Amino acid sequence: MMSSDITEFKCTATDDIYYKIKHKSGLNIIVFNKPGFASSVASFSVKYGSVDTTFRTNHSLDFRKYPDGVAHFLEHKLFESEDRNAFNIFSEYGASSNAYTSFNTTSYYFLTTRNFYDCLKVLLDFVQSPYFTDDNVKKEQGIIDQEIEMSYDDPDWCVFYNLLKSMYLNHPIKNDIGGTAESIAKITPKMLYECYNTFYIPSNMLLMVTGDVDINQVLEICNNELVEKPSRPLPERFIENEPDKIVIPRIVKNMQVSEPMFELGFKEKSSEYNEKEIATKEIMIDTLASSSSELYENLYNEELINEASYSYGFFEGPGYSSYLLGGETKDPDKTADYILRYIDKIKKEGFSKDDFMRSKKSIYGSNVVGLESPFGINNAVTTFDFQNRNLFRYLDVFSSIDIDDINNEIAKSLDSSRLVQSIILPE
Amino acid sequence: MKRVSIMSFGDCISLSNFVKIRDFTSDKFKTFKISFHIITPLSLATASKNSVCSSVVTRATKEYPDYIKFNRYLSEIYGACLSSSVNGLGDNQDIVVSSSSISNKYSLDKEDLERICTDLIMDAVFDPLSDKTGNFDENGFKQEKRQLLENYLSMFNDKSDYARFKCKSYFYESEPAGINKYGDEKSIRALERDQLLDYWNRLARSSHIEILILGNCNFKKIAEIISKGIPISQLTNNLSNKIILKADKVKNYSEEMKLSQSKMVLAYRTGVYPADSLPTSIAAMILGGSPNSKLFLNIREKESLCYYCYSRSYNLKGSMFIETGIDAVNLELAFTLIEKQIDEIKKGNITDKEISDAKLSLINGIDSVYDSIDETEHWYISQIFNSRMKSTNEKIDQIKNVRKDDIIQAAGKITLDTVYTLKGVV
Repeated sequence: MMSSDITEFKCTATDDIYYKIKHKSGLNIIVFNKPGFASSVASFSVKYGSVDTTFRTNHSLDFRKYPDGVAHFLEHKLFESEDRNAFNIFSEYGASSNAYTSFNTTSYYFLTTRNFYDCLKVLLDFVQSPYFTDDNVKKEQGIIDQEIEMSYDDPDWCVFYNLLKSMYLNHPIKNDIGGTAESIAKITPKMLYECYNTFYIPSNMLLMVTGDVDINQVLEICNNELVEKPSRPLPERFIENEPDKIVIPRIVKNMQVSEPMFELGFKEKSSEYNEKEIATKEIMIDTLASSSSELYENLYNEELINEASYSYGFFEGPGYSSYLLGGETKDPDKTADYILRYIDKIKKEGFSKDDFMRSKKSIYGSNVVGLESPFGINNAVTTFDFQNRNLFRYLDVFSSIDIDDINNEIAKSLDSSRLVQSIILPE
Repeated sequence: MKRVSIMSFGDCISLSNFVKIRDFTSDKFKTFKISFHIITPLSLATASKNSVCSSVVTRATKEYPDYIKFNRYLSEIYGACLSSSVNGLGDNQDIVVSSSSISNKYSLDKEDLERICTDLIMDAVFDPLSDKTGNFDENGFKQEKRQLLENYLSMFNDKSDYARFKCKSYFYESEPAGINKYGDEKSIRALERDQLLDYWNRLARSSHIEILILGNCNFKKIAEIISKGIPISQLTNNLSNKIILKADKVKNYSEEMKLSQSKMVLAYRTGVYPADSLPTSIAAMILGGSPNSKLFLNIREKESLCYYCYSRSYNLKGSMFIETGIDAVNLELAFTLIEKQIDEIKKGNITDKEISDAKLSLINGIDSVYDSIDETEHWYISQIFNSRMKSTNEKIDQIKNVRKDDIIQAAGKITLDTVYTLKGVV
C-alpha cells in the first residue's frame, strides 16, 4: 500500500500516534501504536445499533421497519458460522473475544497476548460470514429472552430506560437495545440477512487495532481477508421527527431496592456536534455537577446523595441528546428541587472562573488516563470516528475553550420545561 | 533498610518483617499509583470499623480539612485520587488506601505529583485529620458512616451480587470469609466515633502492610519518602486462612422475591490448598470459564436456558462458585445439568482441545497482567499467602506442565457444599 494512503494523527498532549487508512474496499482501518504492551486489541465495528430499525436501501423503495432488537440479535448470531464457531477458534489461539451492541454501534473484538495476526484473520472472517437458520435463530431467542429478563430486575437499567421513554416520543432510543420478548419472537433468518446485507458493508464499518503491532502486516491481512463485494450505497435511515418537548415529566416505578434512585434528564436539541462543542458540553456539566462543585457540596451535606452512586454526564447520538444526573437518594423530589434551583442560580450568575479552570484540568487528567488501556483506547477512538470526530482533535481543543463558552452553553440548555424525573422507589 | 529480591518482577524493600514496599513501576504507563494494603483478620467486631476508618482518613487531610475543598484541590492536580476500599482476602480483610495521578511528565504546570501523592497517602494513613478532642472530625465520621450503610444496603439492588453474598454467608458460615467486607447492618449502625482514631492509629502501625508502587513514577524517590516517614511498632495480629477441604453434606437455602429472573449460586469445596490449585483452576475454566466451556455450551447454547452460567475458582479459600440467572421453572433442570457437566470432568470426558484452550486462556490472562496497573496489583495481592511468590513466567510454565490426569484428579476432589436460590415470583 502506498504511504500516501495512510494519514497520521498525533496527540499534542501525550505524543500518542495513530494511523488511519482508507482501504480500497471502502473500509476504514485505524492502527493505534502502544509500544511495550503485551496485549493487543482489535475490534471490527459496524455503524449499526438498536436505533437503526427503519431504513431503505434504495430511494425508490418505501422505508421498512424491522422489529426492535435485530442489531443485538445479529451480534449474538454472527460468532456462529455453518461449520465453525468463532469463540472456539479464538480459544485455540488463547485469545478472549466478545461483542456488544449499543444504540448506534455493533462491535466484535478480541484481546490477546499471542497469535495476534491469526486472530485478526478470524475476526475479519467471522464478521463477514453470516449463517442464520430457523433452528439457530429459535435457539438464540431463549438465550436473549433471559438476557432481557435479567435487565427487568436491574434498577439502574429501569431508571434509565424509563427516563428515555418519558423523554422521547418517536426516537427509537426509547426502546431497549435487546428489544422485547415479543419483538425478538418476530425475528426471522430472512430479516437477519436483510439487515446484515444492508449495514455490514465496508464503507459502514471500521477495523480498529491497538497494540504493539506492525501496520503493514495488519494491512496485508486486510488485503487478503476482506471479501470483495459489489459497492453498495449506504442505507438511508428513517427517524420520525422528534418534538422538542418531553412526553411526561415524571415517572415512578417500584422495585426491590434498598433506597430510592433518581435520574434527571434534560432533553436538548440534537445536532451533529463537533469536537469543540462536545468538549464544551462536557466541561459545562463537570463544572456544574462534579464532586468539586457547590451543587455536589449542598446535596452531599444534606445527605441527599452518596459518592458511590452519584453520576452526571452528557448523553448524545444521532437525533438525541440530553444532560443526565442521577444516583441513590433518600428524597428524589428534594434532590431535584435543589438541582433545579442551583441551575437557575448559575444561569443568572454564571460560573466562577476558578470552578471552570479546575474542571478543565481535571478533565485533561482523565483524558490522559483514558489513553492508558488498549481496550479503552479502542472503544474511544471507534466511538469518535463513527461520529465523524477525531479523538486527538477533541483532546487538543480543550485548551481553546473559555468560560464564556460554558456560560453560553448553560444559558441555552438545561431548560426545566424539558426535564424528566425518573424515580425508582422501594416496594 | 534490608533490600531483598523475592520476585523476578518487582524489587522489594523490607521495612520490617510485616511491612514491605514493592516496585511495579513501568514507563509504558501514563499514570502511577501508590497503594497501602493493610491486611488484618476479618471479624464482625472490626470489619465495619476498618471500613469506615479507611473512608474517613481519605476524605480530607490536615492540610485540606474540608471534604469539598479537598476534592477541589484534587481536581486542580488533574483529577488525582486519594481513595480507600475494603476487600475480603480469604479469612482476612484487605484495607486498601491508594493515591493515584497522571505521571509527572504530563503535568501542565510542572507540579511534582509523585511527591504530592506520596505525602497525601502518608498523611492519610499515619497522620489523619483529627478534631480538638483527638477524635475523627464529627461531620466526616457521620457522612462516612451514612455512606457505608447505604453502600452495604445497596448490595440488595443488584440481584446477582445479592445472591452471591447470601450464598457466601451460608457457605462460609463457620469461617471468617463468610463475614461481609463491610460487616453487617447492625455493626455499621453501632459504629461510634469515640476512640476510633486511636483504633486506626494502632491498626496502621501494627498490621501487615504491603505497599505497592505501580505505573510510571520514580520508585526510589517514593520508596525513600515512605521509608523515612513510616512509623511501625509491633505486629499485633496474626493472619490465618483456613481451608475446609470437603463438604459434609449439601446445604440448601432458598428465598423468594418479586423478580423476573431467578438466580442460583452453587458453592463447592475444591479439596486443595492454594499452592496446589492449578489443576483445579484449569478444571474450573473447562467447566465454565469461557464461551467455549461445558456450562456455556450445554446450559446456554444447547438448552437455551440462560444468558449466563459460569464457574470460577477462589483458590485462596479452596472454593469454587457457579452462578446462573434463569427462569424459576428451569431451576431444577439447570441444577441437574450443571452437576452432570462436573461429573463429565470427573469421569475424564474432556478433550485435549478443551485442556489446551483452558490453559491458553489462563496463560493469556497472566501474560496481560502487566498491561494494567490494577491487574498487576490484584495479581500480587492474590498471592500474598503463598509461601513464595511466583513470577508470571513461572506460573505459565507450571500451567503448561499440568496433565489431563491432574485435572481429572482435581475435579474428583470437588464437593458441593451450598446451593442458594433466589426464586423470582410474580
